[in-house]
Amino acid sequence: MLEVFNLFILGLIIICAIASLAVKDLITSAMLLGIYSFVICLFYSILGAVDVAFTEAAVGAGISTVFFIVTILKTERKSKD
Amino acid sequence: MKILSLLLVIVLFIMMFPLVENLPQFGDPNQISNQKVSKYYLEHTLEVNDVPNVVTAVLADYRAFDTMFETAVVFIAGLAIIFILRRPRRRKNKNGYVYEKLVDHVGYQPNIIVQTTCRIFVPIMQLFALYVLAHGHHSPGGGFQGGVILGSMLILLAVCFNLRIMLQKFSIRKHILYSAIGVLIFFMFGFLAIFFGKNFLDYTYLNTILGLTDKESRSLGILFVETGVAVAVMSVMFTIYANLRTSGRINTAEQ
Repeated sequence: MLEVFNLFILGLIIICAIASLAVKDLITSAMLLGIYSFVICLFYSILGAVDVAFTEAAVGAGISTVFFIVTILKTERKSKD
Repeated sequence: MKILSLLLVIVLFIMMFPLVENLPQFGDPNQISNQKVSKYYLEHTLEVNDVPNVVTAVLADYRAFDTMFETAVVFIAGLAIIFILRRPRRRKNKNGYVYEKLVDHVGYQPNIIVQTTCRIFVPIMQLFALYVLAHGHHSPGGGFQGGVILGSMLILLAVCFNLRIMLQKFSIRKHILYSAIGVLIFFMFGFLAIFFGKNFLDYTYLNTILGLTDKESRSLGILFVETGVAVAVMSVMFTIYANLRTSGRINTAEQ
Protein backbone atom coordinates (compact mmCIF):
# COMPACT_ATOMS: atom_id res chain seq x y z
CA MET A 1 0.00 0.00 0.00
CA LEU A 2 2.80 2.42 0.92
CA GLU A 3 4.61 1.58 -2.31
CA VAL A 4 1.56 2.62 -4.33
CA PHE A 5 1.32 5.84 -2.34
CA ASN A 6 5.03 6.54 -2.92
CA LEU A 7 4.63 6.01 -6.65
CA PHE A 8 1.57 8.28 -6.70
CA ILE A 9 3.47 11.06 -4.91
CA LEU A 10 6.56 10.72 -7.10
CA GLY A 11 4.38 10.86 -10.22
CA LEU A 12 2.63 13.96 -8.86
CA ILE A 13 6.02 15.65 -8.29
CA ILE A 14 7.06 15.05 -11.91
CA ILE A 15 3.67 16.15 -13.26
CA CYS A 16 3.77 19.39 -11.20
CA ALA A 17 7.34 20.15 -12.29
CA ILE A 18 6.57 19.67 -15.99
CA ALA A 19 3.25 21.51 -15.75
CA SER A 20 4.84 24.54 -14.10
CA LEU A 21 7.22 24.77 -17.05
CA ALA A 22 4.54 24.20 -19.68
CA VAL A 23 1.90 26.61 -18.42
CA LYS A 24 1.80 30.05 -20.09
CA ASP A 25 0.44 32.06 -17.18
CA LEU A 26 3.17 32.93 -14.68
CA ILE A 27 0.93 33.03 -11.58
CA THR A 28 -0.38 29.53 -12.37
CA SER A 29 3.22 28.44 -12.74
CA ALA A 30 4.10 29.86 -9.31
CA MET A 31 1.11 28.13 -7.72
CA LEU A 32 2.13 24.84 -9.37
CA LEU A 33 5.62 25.26 -7.90
CA GLY A 34 3.96 25.72 -4.50
CA ILE A 35 2.03 22.47 -5.00
CA TYR A 36 5.31 20.81 -6.05
CA SER A 37 6.99 21.95 -2.82
CA PHE A 38 4.10 20.70 -0.75
CA VAL A 39 4.10 17.26 -2.38
CA ILE A 40 7.86 17.03 -1.87
CA CYS A 41 7.23 17.96 1.79
CA LEU A 42 4.83 14.97 2.01
CA PHE A 43 7.51 12.74 0.55
CA TYR A 44 10.13 13.95 3.04
CA SER A 45 7.80 13.17 5.92
CA ILE A 46 7.22 9.67 4.51
CA LEU A 47 11.00 9.17 4.47
CA GLY A 48 11.14 10.26 8.13
CA ALA A 49 12.91 13.61 7.67
CA VAL A 50 10.29 15.60 9.56
CA ASP A 51 12.47 18.66 10.14
CA VAL A 52 13.28 19.00 6.45
CA ALA A 53 9.61 18.52 5.62
CA PHE A 54 8.65 21.31 8.01
CA THR A 55 11.22 23.67 6.50
CA GLU A 56 10.05 22.79 3.00
CA ALA A 57 6.42 23.46 3.94
CA ALA A 58 7.25 26.80 5.57
CA VAL A 59 9.81 28.11 3.08
CA GLY A 60 9.15 26.32 -0.22
CA ALA A 61 5.36 26.19 -0.18
CA GLY A 62 4.75 29.28 1.94
CA ILE A 63 7.14 32.19 1.70
CA SER A 64 8.72 31.61 -1.70
CA THR A 65 5.30 31.33 -3.40
CA VAL A 66 4.39 34.69 -1.85
CA PHE A 67 7.65 36.20 -3.13
CA PHE A 68 7.06 34.77 -6.62
CA ILE A 69 3.53 36.15 -6.79
CA VAL A 70 4.51 39.57 -5.46
CA THR A 71 7.27 39.77 -8.06
CA ILE A 72 5.05 38.54 -10.90
CA LEU A 73 2.40 41.15 -10.08
CA LYS A 74 5.08 43.80 -10.66
CA THR A 75 5.94 42.55 -14.15
CA GLU A 76 4.17 43.24 -17.42
CA ARG A 77 3.48 41.01 -20.39
CA LYS A 78 4.86 42.60 -23.54
CA SER A 79 4.19 39.87 -26.14
CA LYS A 80 0.74 38.38 -26.71
CA ASP A 81 1.43 34.70 -27.37
CA MET B 1 18.70 22.23 -31.08
CA LYS B 2 15.81 21.31 -28.81
CA ILE B 3 15.68 17.77 -30.22
CA LEU B 4 19.45 17.43 -29.84
CA SER B 5 19.39 18.39 -26.17
CA LEU B 6 16.42 16.10 -25.56
CA LEU B 7 18.35 13.21 -27.17
CA LEU B 8 21.38 14.04 -25.02
CA VAL B 9 19.28 13.97 -21.86
CA ILE B 10 17.69 10.64 -22.82
CA VAL B 11 21.09 9.08 -23.57
CA LEU B 12 22.48 10.32 -20.23
CA PHE B 13 19.38 8.99 -18.45
CA ILE B 14 19.87 5.53 -19.98
CA MET B 15 23.57 5.62 -19.06
CA MET B 16 22.86 6.58 -15.46
CA PHE B 17 20.02 4.12 -14.98
CA PRO B 18 22.12 0.98 -14.20
CA LEU B 19 23.75 2.90 -11.32
CA VAL B 20 20.43 3.08 -9.47
CA GLU B 21 20.76 -0.58 -8.52
CA ASN B 22 24.05 0.10 -6.74
CA LEU B 23 22.67 2.88 -4.56
CA PRO B 24 22.44 1.93 -0.86
CA GLN B 25 19.08 0.86 0.48
CA PHE B 26 17.03 3.42 2.39
CA GLY B 27 17.87 3.26 6.11
CA ASP B 28 20.53 0.58 5.67
CA PRO B 29 22.49 0.32 8.96
CA ASN B 30 25.55 -1.22 7.27
CA GLN B 31 26.01 1.73 4.96
CA ILE B 32 29.26 3.62 5.63
CA SER B 33 27.72 7.04 6.26
CA ASN B 34 25.41 5.51 8.89
CA GLN B 35 28.22 3.83 10.79
CA LYS B 36 30.56 6.55 12.02
CA VAL B 37 29.20 10.01 12.82
CA SER B 38 25.47 9.41 12.59
CA LYS B 39 25.75 6.47 14.94
CA TYR B 40 27.54 8.62 17.51
CA TYR B 41 24.87 11.33 17.25
CA LEU B 42 22.01 8.87 17.61
CA GLU B 43 23.53 7.13 20.59
CA HIS B 44 24.97 10.04 22.58
CA THR B 45 22.82 13.12 21.90
CA LEU B 46 20.34 12.46 24.69
CA GLU B 47 22.97 11.99 27.40
CA VAL B 48 25.33 14.74 26.21
CA ASN B 49 22.88 17.44 25.16
CA ASP B 50 19.61 16.53 26.86
CA VAL B 51 17.87 17.07 23.51
CA PRO B 52 15.62 14.27 22.19
CA ASN B 53 15.42 15.71 18.66
CA VAL B 54 18.80 14.81 17.17
CA VAL B 55 18.41 17.19 14.21
CA THR B 56 18.18 20.23 16.47
CA ALA B 57 21.21 19.09 18.47
CA VAL B 58 23.28 18.56 15.33
CA LEU B 59 22.19 21.89 13.81
CA ALA B 60 22.66 24.11 16.84
CA ASP B 61 25.36 22.37 18.83
CA TYR B 62 27.55 19.92 16.90
CA ARG B 63 27.37 21.90 13.65
CA ALA B 64 26.69 25.30 15.19
CA PHE B 65 29.47 26.95 13.20
CA ASP B 66 27.66 25.94 10.02
CA THR B 67 24.32 27.28 11.22
CA MET B 68 25.94 30.53 12.35
CA PHE B 69 27.15 31.36 8.87
CA GLU B 70 23.86 30.15 7.38
CA THR B 71 22.16 32.86 9.42
CA ALA B 72 24.75 35.32 8.18
CA VAL B 73 23.97 34.23 4.61
CA VAL B 74 20.26 34.90 5.14
CA PHE B 75 21.12 38.35 6.52
CA ILE B 76 23.39 39.11 3.56
CA ALA B 77 20.67 37.96 1.13
CA GLY B 78 18.26 40.45 2.69
CA LEU B 79 20.84 43.24 2.44
CA ALA B 80 21.60 42.35 -1.18
CA ILE B 81 17.92 42.56 -2.15
CA ILE B 82 17.70 45.99 -0.51
CA PHE B 83 20.79 47.25 -2.35
CA ILE B 84 19.60 45.92 -5.72
CA LEU B 85 16.02 47.18 -5.52
CA ARG B 86 16.44 50.36 -3.50
CA ARG B 87 15.81 53.68 -5.18
CA PRO B 88 16.83 56.99 -3.70
CA ARG B 89 14.10 59.10 -2.17
CA ARG B 90 15.06 62.13 -4.24
CA ARG B 91 16.79 62.38 -7.58
CA LYS B 92 18.69 65.27 -9.07
CA ASN B 93 17.07 66.81 -12.11
CA LYS B 94 17.97 69.95 -14.07
CA ASN B 95 15.32 71.77 -12.03
CA GLY B 96 16.79 70.63 -8.74
CA TYR B 97 15.81 67.68 -6.56
CA VAL B 98 12.72 65.71 -7.54
CA TYR B 99 10.98 63.61 -4.91
CA GLU B 100 9.54 60.23 -5.89
CA LYS B 101 5.78 59.95 -6.10
CA LEU B 102 3.94 58.03 -3.43
CA VAL B 103 3.01 54.51 -4.48
CA ASP B 104 -0.77 54.31 -4.60
CA HIS B 105 -1.50 50.63 -4.34
CA VAL B 106 0.56 50.22 -1.17
CA GLY B 107 -2.13 51.91 0.86
CA TYR B 108 -5.21 50.13 -0.51
CA GLN B 109 -8.06 49.02 1.73
CA PRO B 110 -9.26 45.43 1.27
CA ASN B 111 -12.65 44.19 2.44
CA ILE B 112 -13.78 43.31 5.95
CA ILE B 113 -13.91 39.52 5.54
CA VAL B 114 -10.22 39.33 4.72
CA GLN B 115 -9.34 41.59 7.63
CA THR B 116 -11.43 39.65 10.16
CA THR B 117 -9.89 36.35 9.04
CA CYS B 118 -6.46 37.94 9.37
CA ARG B 119 -7.31 39.11 12.90
CA ILE B 120 -8.20 35.55 13.86
CA PHE B 121 -5.15 34.02 12.21
CA VAL B 122 -2.38 36.34 13.39
CA PRO B 123 -2.36 35.46 17.13
CA ILE B 124 -2.58 31.75 16.31
CA MET B 125 0.39 32.08 13.96
CA GLN B 126 2.41 33.97 16.58
CA LEU B 127 1.68 31.34 19.23
CA PHE B 128 2.50 28.51 16.84
CA ALA B 129 5.77 30.18 15.82
CA LEU B 130 6.83 30.58 19.45
CA TYR B 131 5.86 26.96 20.11
CA VAL B 132 7.91 25.77 17.13
CA LEU B 133 10.85 27.86 18.32
CA ALA B 134 10.78 26.82 21.96
CA HIS B 135 9.72 23.21 21.44
CA GLY B 136 12.34 22.52 18.78
CA HIS B 137 14.26 20.39 21.26
CA HIS B 138 11.48 17.83 21.41
CA SER B 139 9.51 18.09 18.17
CA PRO B 140 10.39 19.05 14.59
CA GLY B 141 11.09 22.72 14.26
CA GLY B 142 13.58 25.24 15.48
CA GLY B 143 14.71 28.76 14.93
CA PHE B 144 14.56 28.88 11.16
CA GLN B 145 11.03 27.50 10.84
CA GLY B 146 9.76 29.63 13.72
CA GLY B 147 11.31 32.71 12.15
CA VAL B 148 9.75 31.95 8.78
CA ILE B 149 6.31 31.55 10.38
CA LEU B 150 6.75 34.86 12.26
CA GLY B 151 7.83 36.52 9.01
CA SER B 152 4.82 35.16 7.13
CA MET B 153 2.64 36.50 9.95
CA LEU B 154 4.04 39.98 9.30
CA ILE B 155 3.50 39.49 5.56
CA LEU B 156 -0.12 38.42 6.16
CA LEU B 157 -0.67 41.61 8.18
CA ALA B 158 0.85 43.68 5.39
CA VAL B 159 -1.30 41.95 2.74
CA CYS B 160 -4.59 42.15 4.63
CA PHE B 161 -4.19 45.58 6.18
CA ASN B 162 -1.83 48.25 5.03
CA LEU B 163 1.88 48.04 4.30
CA ARG B 164 2.33 51.76 4.79
CA ILE B 165 0.87 51.80 8.31
CA MET B 166 2.97 48.77 9.23
CA LEU B 167 6.11 50.46 7.98
CA GLN B 168 5.24 53.63 9.89
CA LYS B 169 4.88 51.63 13.10
CA PHE B 170 7.96 49.47 12.54
CA SER B 171 10.20 50.95 9.88
CA ILE B 172 12.44 49.02 7.53
CA ARG B 173 15.49 50.43 9.30
CA LYS B 174 14.31 48.76 12.50
CA HIS B 175 13.81 45.51 10.60
CA ILE B 176 17.37 45.62 9.28
CA LEU B 177 18.59 46.41 12.80
CA TYR B 178 16.64 43.44 14.18
CA SER B 179 18.07 41.05 11.61
CA ALA B 180 21.57 42.25 12.50
CA ILE B 181 20.73 41.80 16.19
CA GLY B 182 19.60 38.24 15.49
CA VAL B 183 22.90 37.37 13.81
CA LEU B 184 24.78 39.14 16.62
CA ILE B 185 22.99 37.09 19.30
CA PHE B 186 24.34 33.94 17.66
CA PHE B 187 27.87 35.34 17.34
CA MET B 188 27.77 36.72 20.90
CA PHE B 189 26.88 33.37 22.45
CA GLY B 190 29.73 31.87 20.48
CA PHE B 191 32.29 34.48 21.49
CA LEU B 192 31.26 34.49 25.17
CA ALA B 193 32.57 30.94 25.39
CA ILE B 194 36.06 32.19 24.52
CA PHE B 195 36.02 34.69 27.40
CA PHE B 196 35.18 31.87 29.80
CA GLY B 197 38.08 29.79 28.54
CA LYS B 198 36.04 27.29 26.51
CA ASN B 199 36.05 26.52 22.80
CA PHE B 200 34.09 28.70 20.38
CA LEU B 201 30.34 27.89 20.57
CA ASP B 202 30.82 25.47 23.47
CA TYR B 203 27.75 26.28 25.56
CA THR B 204 29.02 24.71 28.77
CA TYR B 205 30.21 28.13 29.99
CA LEU B 206 26.58 28.85 30.90
CA ASN B 207 26.89 26.64 33.97
CA THR B 208 29.42 29.02 35.52
CA ILE B 209 26.91 31.91 35.17
CA LEU B 210 23.61 30.17 35.88
CA GLY B 211 24.73 27.25 37.96
CA LEU B 212 23.47 24.44 35.74
CA THR B 213 24.86 21.06 34.80
CA ASP B 214 26.69 20.60 31.49
CA LYS B 215 23.68 18.87 29.93
CA GLU B 216 21.25 21.63 30.88
CA SER B 217 23.56 24.43 29.80
CA ARG B 218 24.00 22.85 26.35
CA SER B 219 20.23 22.53 26.00
CA LEU B 220 19.72 26.15 27.08
CA GLY B 221 22.46 27.39 24.76
CA ILE B 222 20.68 25.77 21.82
CA LEU B 223 17.50 27.67 22.74
CA PHE B 224 19.32 31.03 22.95
CA VAL B 225 21.01 30.51 19.62
CA GLU B 226 17.77 29.45 17.93
CA THR B 227 16.11 32.63 19.22
CA GLY B 228 18.76 34.66 17.41
CA VAL B 229 18.14 32.73 14.20
CA ALA B 230 14.37 33.28 14.50
CA VAL B 231 14.71 37.06 14.98
CA ALA B 232 17.09 37.37 12.03
CA VAL B 233 14.97 35.25 9.67
CA MET B 234 11.72 37.04 10.63
CA SER B 235 13.10 40.49 9.88
CA VAL B 236 14.84 39.42 6.68
CA MET B 237 11.66 37.80 5.32
CA PHE B 238 9.61 40.93 5.95
CA THR B 239 12.34 43.17 4.51
CA ILE B 240 12.42 41.14 1.29
CA TYR B 241 8.62 41.24 1.03
CA ALA B 242 8.40 45.00 1.61
CA ASN B 243 11.13 45.71 -0.92
CA LEU B 244 9.53 43.51 -3.59
CA ARG B 245 6.06 44.92 -2.91
CA THR B 246 7.06 48.56 -3.24
CA SER B 247 9.67 47.70 -5.91
CA GLY B 248 12.33 49.42 -3.83
CA ARG B 249 10.48 52.67 -3.12
CA ILE B 250 10.49 51.80 0.54
CA ASN B 251 11.28 55.33 1.70
CA THR B 252 8.28 56.85 -0.02
CA ALA B 253 6.04 54.13 1.35
CA GLU B 254 7.07 55.04 4.86
CA GLN B 255 5.93 58.65 4.61
